[in-house]
Amino acid sequence: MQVYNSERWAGDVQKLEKEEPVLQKPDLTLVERACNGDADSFTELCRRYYPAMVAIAHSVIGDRHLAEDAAQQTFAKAVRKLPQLKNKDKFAAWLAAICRNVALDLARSRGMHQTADDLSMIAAKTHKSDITDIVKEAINELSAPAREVIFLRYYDGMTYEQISAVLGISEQAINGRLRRAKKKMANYLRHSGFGEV
Amino acid sequence: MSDKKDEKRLDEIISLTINTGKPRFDPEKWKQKYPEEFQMLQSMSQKDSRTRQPSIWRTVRQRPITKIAAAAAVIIIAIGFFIVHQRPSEQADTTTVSKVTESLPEMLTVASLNIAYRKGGLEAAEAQFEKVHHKRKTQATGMSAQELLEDFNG
Repeated sequence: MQVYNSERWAGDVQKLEKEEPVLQKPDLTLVERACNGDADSFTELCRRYYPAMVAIAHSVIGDRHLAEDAAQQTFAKAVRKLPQLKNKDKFAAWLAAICRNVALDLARSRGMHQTADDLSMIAAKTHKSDITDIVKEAINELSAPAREVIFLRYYDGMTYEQISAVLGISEQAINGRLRRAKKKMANYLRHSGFGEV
Repeated sequence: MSDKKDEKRLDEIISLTINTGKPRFDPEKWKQKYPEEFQMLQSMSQKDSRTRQPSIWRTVRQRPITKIAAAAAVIIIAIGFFIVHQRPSEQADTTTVSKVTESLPEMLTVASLNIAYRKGGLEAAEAQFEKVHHKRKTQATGMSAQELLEDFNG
């Protein structure tokens, strides 16, 4: 059993009092504070949207490590562009747009940007041994917006509400996009010899 | 296998393929990697506090209602200034009129000279002046209004 002494308790309470104001604030408040140069608020925004940005970048680049680099670069670019942000309530969608561009630039600079056609050609040449490889191929066959939704949904188990905030579209639209993407993937897997998925 | 089970299986496979662990943001690493951007972020607060001082104009420009209120205030102030600057001249006018009306004989003298000039020109006016001057000189109290009115015909 964990023993809680009074000093530790007081320290934890102080820590919580310090952390809670920023942690509990809604995005809009944090964005407004960040625009006024509050580094803590901006850090909290980064914490909140880092997984989503990594997911978006991963869907473009196809590499986890580079996706993390792209997400960090996105925040750096966001700081520079922060004074230009007009709709502060659409911060997440604005950040996602920056992330897409950063990821595309990064992929282009490293010669990593592959179209669905390129990937299907590679897939045809390579031996389809593992189901995860086939799933990766199926994901690469999807359009960029569909791939993005799949990554956001399955990367960190984001809710429709969270995805809606990041992509700036309605939850119904996300549901439709996700269903179509999964249907397409299921068809691809069936054609690849995985009959029951 | 049912559609629901198929969908669940697909969800599991996708999750297994994509989910490679939750990415966590490290603020310290980010600060080290992008020191220029971090400084820029902090300088925003200094810049903001500097620009915040003359905030009246900013506040006015932010909403249409404040713009209208400011315009109305400017108009009211302008009208106020106009009224204040108009008054002294009006007061001056009234004092000159009262001065003239106070010395009725003088006013009538001027009027009689005017009438004389209209009737007989400069010579008639001079003659009238001489006449009035002579009369006022001889009478210490000055001419009465009745006497001056008699002279009106020149």
